[in-house]
Amino acid sequence: MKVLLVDDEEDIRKIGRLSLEAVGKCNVITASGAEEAMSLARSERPDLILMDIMMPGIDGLAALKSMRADADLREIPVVFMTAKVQPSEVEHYLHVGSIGVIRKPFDPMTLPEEVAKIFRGRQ
Amino acid sequence: MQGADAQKKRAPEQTAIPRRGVNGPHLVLDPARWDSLESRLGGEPPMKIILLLDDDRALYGLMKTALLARSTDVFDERRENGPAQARESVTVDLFVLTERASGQRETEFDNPTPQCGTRTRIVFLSAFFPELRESTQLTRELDISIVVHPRIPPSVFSTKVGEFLSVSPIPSKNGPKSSRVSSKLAIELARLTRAFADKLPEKLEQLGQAIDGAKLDRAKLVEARSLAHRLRGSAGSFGFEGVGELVGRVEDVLSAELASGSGEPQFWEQVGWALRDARRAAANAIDVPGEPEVPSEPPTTSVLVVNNDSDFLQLIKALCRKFLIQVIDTQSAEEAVEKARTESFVAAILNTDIDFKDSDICLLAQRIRESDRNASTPIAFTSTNGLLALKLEATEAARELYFDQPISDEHFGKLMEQLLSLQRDGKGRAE
Repeated sequence: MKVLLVDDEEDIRKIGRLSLEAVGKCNVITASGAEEAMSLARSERPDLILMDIMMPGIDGLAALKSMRADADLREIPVVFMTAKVQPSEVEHYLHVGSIGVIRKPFDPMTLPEEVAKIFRGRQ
Repeated sequence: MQGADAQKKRAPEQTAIPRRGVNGPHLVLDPARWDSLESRLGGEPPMKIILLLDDDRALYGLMKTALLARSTDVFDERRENGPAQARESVTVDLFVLTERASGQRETEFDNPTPQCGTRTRIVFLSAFFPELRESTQLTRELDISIVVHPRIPPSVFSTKVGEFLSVSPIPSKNGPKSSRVSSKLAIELARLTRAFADKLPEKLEQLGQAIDGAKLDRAKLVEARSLAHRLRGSAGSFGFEGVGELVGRVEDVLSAELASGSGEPQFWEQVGWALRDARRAAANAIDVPGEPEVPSEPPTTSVLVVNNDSDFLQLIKALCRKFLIQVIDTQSAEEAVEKARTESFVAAILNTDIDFKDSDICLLAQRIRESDRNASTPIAFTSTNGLLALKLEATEAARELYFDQPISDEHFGKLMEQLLSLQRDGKGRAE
């Protein structure tokens, strides 16, 4: 599975990549912001985008909205990673088109399981 | 402390370890988890379950990741309700605890419950184990099985624990590949965790400065909140949940202020308290209190390398860093012999391609072994030409290890494990 990991925090990209590659056997590409993510999504066609919500510039929610309005990108599933996981917040993320939410901080040993579970649940 | 006294002190419902802040996904050992563990690790159940207790978060991270590279699962008391819950929900095969973790908790271990069994074994990490009196007390009175020094390299520690529990590195349905991957993961995770721990004080300092800036200019509140948000997520993901939670409190207060714009003085007080607590939590998590120098040091973790290939030296230094091993590199036989005379090495790696002038590689190996400090140091030969005769000469004449250059990451990892194993067992030479 090819995963595009989007987070403005370099440490999160590092540990997320390691986790998804070594534990989840995923092919991982990373982006540090929403604009880069959309560009990579267009060229790399990932199976799934794992995206932080609160990022400088375009945040995750706005990025998802743009992607859903883009014929090239609208089919790529997006999972949000966030510390804000109150039920009403999660409901909102799902309502705007995310297929799932992973709570931050995540456990690098179980992150791929969580991602796979959400991905399988969608199929 | 034993028997009746201990039982009196320990109330059944007591949880001696205060639960830390939990804001991450829980690690729950239920039957379904075995499936995910199996698929995750490519291994086969049943795994051994280890309860690892340690307040030193950096050390904890290193040990945990090293242990996970074996057929073990580490039950994280910080993510659960402590040993009490562990004993209620799973059968723990081994406790690993440190002297810092033991103090207030010793009542937790002197009367194991049926789930744990009275034969549940304990590994104790102690900086003071060379003191015979304490060691004897631990092993005899508290039935501690083995005592190791906290400075033991994680890879050696996991090997020791693995041998103790009769578990090998993670098996794989596809041969050794998965095992290597998992070992690599453990090592890499440990490296990332250590690097993050090193940067954590600086990150908190930056957050403090951003908050100071926001006090003078409220427009900078957003920047301060952004820093807090990023640190909240990353600290927890690297195992510093307590720090992440406290930094999260900073973020929440800043967010509330941004939303309300109250500008009340209590707001800055709240931010200050949360930041102070986060700094304390980080200091507790990272700092290892000064350990007294002990006469009997743990195994030296330096490897002697005689090689003039700069690419190889660069590679081997990078690889050894992953094993927390220092490389002492030399360019000549005389320099190597002098180093061997004054320092003990876990291994020596000699390049046979070097022109040793009035010496040769076998003579150099012999001279290294003649030094008191390295009489049983394992030696590996390396060469870029890979001549069979040279390999035979090395392995048959001196029973040394041999490997070709360039060496891959995976191959080198196996080599280092073999060398460390030989050194630890005092065998010195490959059988």
